[in-house]
Amino acid sequence: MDSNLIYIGIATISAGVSVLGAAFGIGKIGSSAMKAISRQPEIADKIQNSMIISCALIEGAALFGIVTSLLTVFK
Amino acid sequence: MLINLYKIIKKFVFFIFKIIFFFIISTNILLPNYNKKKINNIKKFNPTKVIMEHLKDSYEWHFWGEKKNEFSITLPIILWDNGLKFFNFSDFKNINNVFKNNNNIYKIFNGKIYKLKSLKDLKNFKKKYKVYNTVLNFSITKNVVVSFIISLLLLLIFINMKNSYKNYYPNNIFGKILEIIILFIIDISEKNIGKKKEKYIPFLLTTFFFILLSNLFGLIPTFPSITGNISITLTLSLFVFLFTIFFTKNNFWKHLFTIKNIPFYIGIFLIFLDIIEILIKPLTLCIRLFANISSGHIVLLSFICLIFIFKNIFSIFFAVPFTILISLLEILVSFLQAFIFINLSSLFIGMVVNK
Repeated sequence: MDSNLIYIGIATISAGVSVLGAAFGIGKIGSSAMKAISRQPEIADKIQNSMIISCALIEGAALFGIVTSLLTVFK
Repeated sequence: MLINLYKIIKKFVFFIFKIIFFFIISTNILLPNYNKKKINNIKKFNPTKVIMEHLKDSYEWHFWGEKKNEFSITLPIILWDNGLKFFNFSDFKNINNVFKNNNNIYKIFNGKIYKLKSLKDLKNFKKKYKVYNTVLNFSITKNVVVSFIISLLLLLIFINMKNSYKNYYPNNIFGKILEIIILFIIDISEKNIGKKKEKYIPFLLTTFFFILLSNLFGLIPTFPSITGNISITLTLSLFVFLFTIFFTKNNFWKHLFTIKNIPFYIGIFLIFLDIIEILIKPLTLCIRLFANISSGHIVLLSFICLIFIFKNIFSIFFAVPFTILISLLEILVSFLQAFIFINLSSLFIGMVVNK
């Protein structure tokens, strides 16, 4: 079997795993933000702002994984 | 009754879509002038090569066509090799990508310029290219040209807007539209930085509009997406890094290096962690922007490449709608990423200023 193919397979699996983690984290943030907004709709703006920031931080961690796997594929 | 009818129609439409989809994938018979020999003679289509050529920087701006019908602009190459040297990329356009100039021989390989000693080195160049020296390269590439265009556009728009103000009210279309966005960004910086915001607002506004315009320019065909290049996003985040180092309160560095009420070895470890934190904050900014934009372009191009992979006209019917949908999503992403870059950079600056 071609060794290049094994690399590509491992890289795609690692990208999928990193996306799984990010999806789990962002889903948790979204659900808790929804709960908070439904309890206190007056401060929805503040909650949305902090929600976007924490989503972006989680996304950054996931994108590190995706970029490393991309680099292995395109090398 | 109506609901039942709706359900039946929905099922029927889905059924037809499924049939069309699998039919398109499974057959090649629909191809006009179907001829196995002809297809085997065509070079095997390589989607990763196409996508990487789109994402990479290059010395010429290619618009359309191939070989004879090609329409492209070759850009100047500027080298530092015992003095500045100016070439044009059209000098390098031969079989070996080599240019001779006063006893100096230059070769372009994988986007880098190497200096050769003699023409004999061209043999087996691909295997031992790491031996040769690269030259300092200040050339104006495709991405640099587009960033110049964007900064010129920004200057035009904002100088026009500035001149149109009378009695604190803009008499210009750009002014009327952009004032809302500018006030929005000022609100964000008020939230994150506080009273000392006025020093940082010009930086935040220029980076926001630069990122937004370059993201939107990347969606126009033939224009490269310059925020999909890691060196440009790295310079943008480098400015944030410099802000977080130099515009600090006096006791910021003192807090960083003092060890109080904790064991000595843990204190050293904590100092190490703090320094890593300072470095990683702007690095995540850089990588987030780069990865978001480039991944969007990879998805877009891979949907277009599906047409050439299936070699079938009918694959247009699912490739084109998907590309339109994803490019609409990309417009949203380009706004969102510019907003997030500004929001996070103002947050990082605020953390340092108010510590």
